Amino acid sequence: MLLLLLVLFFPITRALFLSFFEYNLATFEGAEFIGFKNYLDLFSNSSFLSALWQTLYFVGASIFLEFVFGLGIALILHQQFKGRNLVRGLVLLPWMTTPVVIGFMFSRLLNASYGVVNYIFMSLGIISQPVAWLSDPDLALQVIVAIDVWRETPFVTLILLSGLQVIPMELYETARIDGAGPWARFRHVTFPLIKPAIAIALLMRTMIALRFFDIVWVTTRGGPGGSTELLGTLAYKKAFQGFRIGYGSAVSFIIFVLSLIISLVYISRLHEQRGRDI
Amino acid sequence: MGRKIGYKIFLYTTAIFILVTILFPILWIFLTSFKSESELSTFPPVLWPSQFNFNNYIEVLIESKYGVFAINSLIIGIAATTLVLILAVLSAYGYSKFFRFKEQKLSLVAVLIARMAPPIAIVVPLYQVVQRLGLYDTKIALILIYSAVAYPLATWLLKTFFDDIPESVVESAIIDGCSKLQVLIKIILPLSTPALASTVTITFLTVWNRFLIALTFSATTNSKTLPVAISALSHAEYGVQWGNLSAISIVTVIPVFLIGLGAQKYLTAGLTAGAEKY
Repeated sequence: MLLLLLVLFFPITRALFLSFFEYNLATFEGAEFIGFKNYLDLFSNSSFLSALWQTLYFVGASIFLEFVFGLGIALILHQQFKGRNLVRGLVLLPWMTTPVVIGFMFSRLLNASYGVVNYIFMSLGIISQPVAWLSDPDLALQVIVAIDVWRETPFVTLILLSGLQVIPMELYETARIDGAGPWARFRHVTFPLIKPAIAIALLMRTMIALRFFDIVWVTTRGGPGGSTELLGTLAYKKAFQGFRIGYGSAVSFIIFVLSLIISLVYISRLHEQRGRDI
Repeated sequence: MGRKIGYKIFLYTTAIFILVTILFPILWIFLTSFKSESELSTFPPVLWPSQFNFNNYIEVLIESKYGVFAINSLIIGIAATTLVLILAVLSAYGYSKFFRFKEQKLSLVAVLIARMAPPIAIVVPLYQVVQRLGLYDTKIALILIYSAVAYPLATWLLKTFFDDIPESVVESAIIDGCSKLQVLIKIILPLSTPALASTVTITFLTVWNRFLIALTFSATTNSKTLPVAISALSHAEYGVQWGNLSAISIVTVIPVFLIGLGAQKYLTAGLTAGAEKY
């Protein structure tokens, strides 16, 4: 508990505190209290605003896709077929893979000059010439979303699958006897019963996606031209490369507040669910 | 009957598609790590190296300092996991239903909120603390910070598992004259080996994969971990050494895959319990 206090709660209060200061490590001047100026600066600064929008876009797009794919895969892995356990076992691999390795892996696969993705897409006729996936400002953020979907869909699948597994089989039998087709069974039996699992998976994903850093850092470092700059990379750059500790603290405090809001929703959601179980 | 066969075909094709999407990138990098210099920069890319040469591995592990990073990662991973396990077992026991104290609820919520705190929000202010304590670029700093970051989830997991132990078992032990600590060691821990396995697996995997904290607090071979080394290599000044990077990436993910797949049952149980239980 003491360690927790020192390493987690102290820094967050300290971040809030620092964010009210102009504190530049490069100038050797002491910290100067400037009140809300860092925050005012942020909201009139175009690089912060675009990082904020890009983060929200990233979170929204990746979580939507992870939900669609995660639900689809969970439904398939819930069916009976040979080799199901093998697929279930391997499906978690992307989630286990070190994020930095994932970043490197995809920068190799998507490389403009000798990446295999270009080769495959060209042979399939999807594209006519090599595409610079990660250095095209219009594409890079979409590609980052796709990489995150590759990594995080297994997590959503896992949570939804565990939700599916507790649905009693008799419910499906009853529905079948009542003449419900597959879609009606999904709509009226499966979906309402896994709704709590869906809520939890999505809330957890939102929390994690807000702090997304590793993969962008390895693949694009926020570039090209800031097109993949997210709040996480911006805070890091300001604090450790621009030495503007106060400003970086302000950005990181905004990340904290955003994820705190989501986590409070999540906690109250868990609370509700427990109330229902008892 | 025809519909049934169509359904089976659909199931198997999607299952195979899922597997290919998951395995292809990893397998590609695995094969890349055995390719020779010339095979690395051809287009169309070659799938299978003409001969499996281990040069990349030899260069990475023996001829350069990357072996040291692997050892750092290992030391930090094992030390942090051990520390987390000891602290989490003790506090989870305190938080479980076998104890009641006034601040229990409040500090449990604190643990839960701490679990949600994004690393980027703590890294900026923590930087000064670490430097003032003279711990910058030491393994101790990373071990302590990683432990603090992993502690909340571990405590939470163990608490929910301890709560599932029937009260009667513990009561009869107390009647037999066991102290509270003896109850923990003799009764609760032997009953919770699966829970401990889950906690160890998740803690080790997340500590091993973490990047941002090590990126901030390490500078030299003293404390640099594998992810930091990979990220530095993939933005190398004199062009990217794809072969070496592939080899070191494979070295990085091997322990994760071995543990993750070997203890898959515990990993799955821990992940779902960590997300859903309260």
